[in-house]
Amino acid sequence: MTDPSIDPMARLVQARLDGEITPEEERALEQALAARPDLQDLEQRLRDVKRHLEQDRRSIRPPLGLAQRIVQRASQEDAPAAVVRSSNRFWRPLAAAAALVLLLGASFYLGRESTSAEADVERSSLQEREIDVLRRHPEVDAAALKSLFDATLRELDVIERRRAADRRDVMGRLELGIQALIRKADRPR
Amino acid sequence: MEAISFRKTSPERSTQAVKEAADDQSLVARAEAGDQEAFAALVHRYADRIYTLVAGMIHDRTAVEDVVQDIFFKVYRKLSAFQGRSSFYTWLYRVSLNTATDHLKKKRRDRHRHVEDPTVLDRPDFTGGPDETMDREELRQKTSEAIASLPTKYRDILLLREYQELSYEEIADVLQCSKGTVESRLFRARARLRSKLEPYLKRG
Repeated sequence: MTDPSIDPMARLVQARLDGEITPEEERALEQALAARPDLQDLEQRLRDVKRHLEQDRRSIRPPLGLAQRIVQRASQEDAPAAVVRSSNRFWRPLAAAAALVLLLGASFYLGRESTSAEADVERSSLQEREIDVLRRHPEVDAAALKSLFDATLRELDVIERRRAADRRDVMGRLELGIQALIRKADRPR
Repeated sequence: MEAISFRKTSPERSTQAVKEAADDQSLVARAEAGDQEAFAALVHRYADRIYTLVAGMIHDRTAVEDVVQDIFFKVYRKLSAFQGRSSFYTWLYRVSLNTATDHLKKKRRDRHRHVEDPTVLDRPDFTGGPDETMDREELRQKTSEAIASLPTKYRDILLLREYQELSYEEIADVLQCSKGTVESRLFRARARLRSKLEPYLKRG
């Protein structure tokens, strides 16, 4: 929806800088610019911002090998996890307990990451679904549809937060249990 | 007044975009079936673009690379969730903007825990004005901080326009809003950014 509080000629000033103006609009703009110093000033201000951002964008240099590192990480995801073995009988229980702590810590961390990753993807998929509905059924009230999807996203956020809190509680209890087992294993028999 | 020209959406560019979109669909289908080379081709096609998008709002290079890695990792794991109703790149941009926004929120939460006066947050320090000795890197930091401090609805549009050079229509596709909304928000975004960066802008 076009914001009515923005002067239509100011909108055209911006559209021209962005290369989004039609020849008819450009002619109208030229006439307005000749008569209105405020529009000339606006054009200059927008031009300054645009130039600044263009220079900033050009100064960004993606690091070499970025794509290779991403592909490598993705391929490692499919690789089987290594298993560490110990032959020392005395250290075996402690090493096992320590490994368990590390493993659970890592799975807790990865679990949280994966939950957050799924939430992001779910959000993006919902946005895709909303676009699809609008494309297939342009007669649908777009604002009402947007509210519906927004409400769904809010509900999903609440579920997500609750789930994360529940996971933290469960994993916290597990950690305490593990510590108790380690202490028990340390005690002389 | 210096005449500068800004790139218009040319017919050649549109044709190229359509071709890329068709290639993407085929690569996504192959990657989903387990073809690593197809996924690698998608990564090689988009990694630098996504890096530039994320770097527009995050200054720290290590953090930018981490976020970009996360984005592609999510995409890799969830290719099956991409239902092909829109172009792959629109989905990728949405995942990217959401992931980068989550990173900024987390960073702000972490800072809140360590700063006694939370009111100093989200307010880039632009006191002192431009320094003659301010180097390009400092200017980059000021710019990305100013962009990061914009409300999401303005920030996303500004980044897609200025750091990805998407047309109004393409931005509307990515952000599922009308072209009119893109124009209005872009206008507001530039006005807000201008006031934040006022001391650093060169008139020309």
